[in-house]
Amino acid sequence: MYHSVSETSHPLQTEEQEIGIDPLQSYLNKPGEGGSNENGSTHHTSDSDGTFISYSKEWEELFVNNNYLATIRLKGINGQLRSSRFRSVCWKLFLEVLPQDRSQWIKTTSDLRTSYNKIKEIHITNPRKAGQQDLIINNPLSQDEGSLWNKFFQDKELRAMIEQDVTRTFPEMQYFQQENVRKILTDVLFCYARENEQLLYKQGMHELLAPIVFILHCDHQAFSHASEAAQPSEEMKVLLNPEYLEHDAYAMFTRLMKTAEHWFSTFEHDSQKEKDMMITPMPFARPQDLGPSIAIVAKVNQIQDHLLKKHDIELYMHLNRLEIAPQIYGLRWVRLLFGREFPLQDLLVVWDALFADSITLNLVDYIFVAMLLYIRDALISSNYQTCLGLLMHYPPIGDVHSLILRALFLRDPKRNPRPVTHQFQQNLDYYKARGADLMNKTRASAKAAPLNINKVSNSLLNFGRKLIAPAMASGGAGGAPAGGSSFPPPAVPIRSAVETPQQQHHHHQHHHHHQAQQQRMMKSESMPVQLGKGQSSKNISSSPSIESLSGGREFTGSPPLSASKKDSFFSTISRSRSQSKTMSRKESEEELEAQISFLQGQLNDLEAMCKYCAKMMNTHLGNIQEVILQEHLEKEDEILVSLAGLKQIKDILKGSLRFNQSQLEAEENEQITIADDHYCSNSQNKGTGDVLKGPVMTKQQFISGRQTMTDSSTSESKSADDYIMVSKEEEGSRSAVPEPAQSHQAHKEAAVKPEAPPRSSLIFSDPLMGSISASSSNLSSSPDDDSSNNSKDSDFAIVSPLDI
Amino acid sequence: MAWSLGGSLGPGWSCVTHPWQSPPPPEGRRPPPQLVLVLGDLHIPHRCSGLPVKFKELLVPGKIQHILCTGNLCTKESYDYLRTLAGDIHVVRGDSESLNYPEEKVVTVGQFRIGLIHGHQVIPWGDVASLALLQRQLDVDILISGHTHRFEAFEHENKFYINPGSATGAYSALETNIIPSFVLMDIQASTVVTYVYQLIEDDVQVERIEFKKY
Repeated sequence: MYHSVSETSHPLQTEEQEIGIDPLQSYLNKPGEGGSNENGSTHHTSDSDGTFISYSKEWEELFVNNNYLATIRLKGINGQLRSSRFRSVCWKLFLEVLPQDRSQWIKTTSDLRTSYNKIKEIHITNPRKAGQQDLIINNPLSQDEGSLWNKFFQDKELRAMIEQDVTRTFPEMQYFQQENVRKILTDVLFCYARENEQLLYKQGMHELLAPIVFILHCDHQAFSHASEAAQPSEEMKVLLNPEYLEHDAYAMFTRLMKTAEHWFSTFEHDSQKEKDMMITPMPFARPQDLGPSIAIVAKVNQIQDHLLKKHDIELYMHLNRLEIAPQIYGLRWVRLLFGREFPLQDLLVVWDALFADSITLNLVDYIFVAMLLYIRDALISSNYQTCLGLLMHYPPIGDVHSLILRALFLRDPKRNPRPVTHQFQQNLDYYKARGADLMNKTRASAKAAPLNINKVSNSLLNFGRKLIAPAMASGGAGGAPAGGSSFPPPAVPIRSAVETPQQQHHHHQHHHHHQAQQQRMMKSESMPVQLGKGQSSKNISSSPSIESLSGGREFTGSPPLSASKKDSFFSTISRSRSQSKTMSRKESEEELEAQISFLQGQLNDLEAMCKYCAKMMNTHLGNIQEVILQEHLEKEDEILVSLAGLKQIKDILKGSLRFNQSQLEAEENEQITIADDHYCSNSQNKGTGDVLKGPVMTKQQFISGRQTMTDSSTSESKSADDYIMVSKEEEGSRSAVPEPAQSHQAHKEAAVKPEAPPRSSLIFSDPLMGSISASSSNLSSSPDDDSSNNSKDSDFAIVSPLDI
Repeated sequence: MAWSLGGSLGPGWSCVTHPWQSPPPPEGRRPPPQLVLVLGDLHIPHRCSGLPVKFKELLVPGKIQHILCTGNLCTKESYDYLRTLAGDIHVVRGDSESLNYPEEKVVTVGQFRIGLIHGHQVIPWGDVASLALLQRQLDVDILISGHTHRFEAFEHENKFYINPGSATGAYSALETNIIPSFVLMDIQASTVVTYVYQLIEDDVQVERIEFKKY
């Protein structure tokens, strides 16, 4: 099907040729109709004719080609059918309800419609109609099989079950609350159930039927709107006749169910005898392997065990470790064809691609994996509860088309372009809460194991602290102690430890390596600490602001989409390391090596991407700025301020501006996250100031920071801008709040180099840090230092009271 | 004619909340059947030990919406058994009752007003004219009475009279050779279809009578 790419030029070419001829004449019954003739010859631009012209044009474009099937399949996969007015016809073609041969369309459609009428008559019975039947058999209380009344009561039960589900279909949409729509859904489902007695009705079928009905309805509306303008073709009239919505829906639904029915069947393949049930078949069996083997369960297991394992072994291991059986979430994903994971319009796009791809719906597996991969970072860094929350309430995805592309790429890497990998980065508290609800229904005892580790915490913490202090650590490796009191010490030394390599101007990789080594050392000590993190969400934050943050359950605004991935990678490593208690240290070392190299590659990719983005942004921003300045608009200042913000973003991407990592991490991982000063403090062309490291540590720092700010007032523009980048919820943004006045400076080009040194002398005033603060005072800010990738020094907004 | 269970029911009927009951179809094409079970004069345990087995087989919960009982159940156990068949049950007081019930009741099902009385109050017992008098008093379309232990269903002066007989076939001073019987009414719009179930020599015989209200 992909070879059709080359053929798309053909359909377009023929269409262009047709424009010369009156496009409507070939489809009109009355060629003499005034409006269309005018349209054809003079391109009359009355509105009503115009809509019909575009309507019929779309029709031609889609269906009047030699290779129309391939064309529309391609469109479906590319998501171009999103606003098509003939979506239902396309779907009928995909689902093979309409034959390929266009001349057969009308006949096939009417055949299917009459057959549905017959089916309806058979099954939707009126028990009072049968007057001739023997009363012994056909009385209301009769339980005789032949009794119509008996059938009636059985139907009543089935209907009631169906109606229960139908009323819960798409409750957010007004369309499905209408009585006639509900009746249509019920009747279609009922007829299907009666026609397929071995499957009957299963919950979930209604969700498959509902979008079909919806698109049919949309197309009918478009059709009636267009036919107000002019007479549509006979073909269109037959295909889009609103009276037959139910019949068409039934036809499409049955065809879809032919593929999907084995997902709903609860037929067990291996029937276990009573005796076997007493003995567990395998010791240490995974939860998904126990229980009857039903087709759908086997399918989702296969997706996880093979596909996911192939593409992302880490996530696979993580899910296995947490014993999250794929049928918990996968059953719903597959049975409803992701109906509950996406909003309706996105869902229709996904279904476009699914159906266009093939009637066997085998893209489902890959979309499944793509969905998992999208949230992989969040999943890996989450405990069981949050994972459940994430999986059962799949986070909204901005561009669903990227998911489809990813799925295509996963299926066939050679033929499809590698898509840009986006990752889900959000505050996970919401999902933790959802997961908690779910967990109360599922395993309650799972938390016992990790909880025990908490008790080991304190002593080990102290030990770990000493170990950590001289060592380097990655940003994400900060352990979260069970007790809140002891958190600043380990956190702080880790953070300061981060600073030390910076001054040595280590290369990235070297830095990584060091970090990894230290991580290794730190792992065993901090392991219990990290394990404890899952339980005590409140105490996990590395700053009071974050504490209050994680207490709140709101869905905070999305943090800036920056390349903070390497931090998540590190935290990934550290966490997954720590959670695998059984791994020996040696094995973990080897694994670490492998991970490191893998990460290097990823990191380089990311860096390249960021640099590219920064460059492009630069050019574009420059253009915009020129134009704006020339225009002399009224509200120039606001525009320029926004431009300044955009430039800041560009600088972050380029790396010359420090991005506040710790905030993002804390939200994601509910851990103490030490700001990873991985971004280099490269010289900024515009000399924009360095970001003040988010006031991660203590309140004192904030206050000190603020005072610092007021101290160096001329650098306010910079610092204020720096603060703007800190995400709002953080208390650090408190500092940003008093700054906004100063932040409204038009141009950030006011590079104030001399500002850097005073700030570099700011020292964090935590007592434990006292020793380390001395070292940081040695750090020199080098905003102009091009060569240093890792001079992450002066940008800490840490203040010692001595300085003030 | 749309059926609305809440609105059209008179004060005698409680709100029916059966799980299996489907809401009326919007077009009003086929209103759901309202099945009303009419029986009485069980006399359990004094004169009979229980309902005939074949009747019990027929009476399964889930099909019947209302039960009208002419009385003389005699015990609470019978009442509880009837309660399991349907949620909405109305009983009137017979002459050998142990529990307190009203003497007579009027209920509305669909378009019909139905009067319910045991029948020992109507003298002479089972007399048509006296029953007609009562019907005029209660102003009902269908009058259900019992006590004679004999099944009857007839139309008189455009009104319908039903006597379900005795469901257990209990002894009666008025009659010998009692046949166990009960009545099931299928009420739809302005038509009542009455099915009579009689146990004649160990076999259930069903008859059908239709009554239209003008």
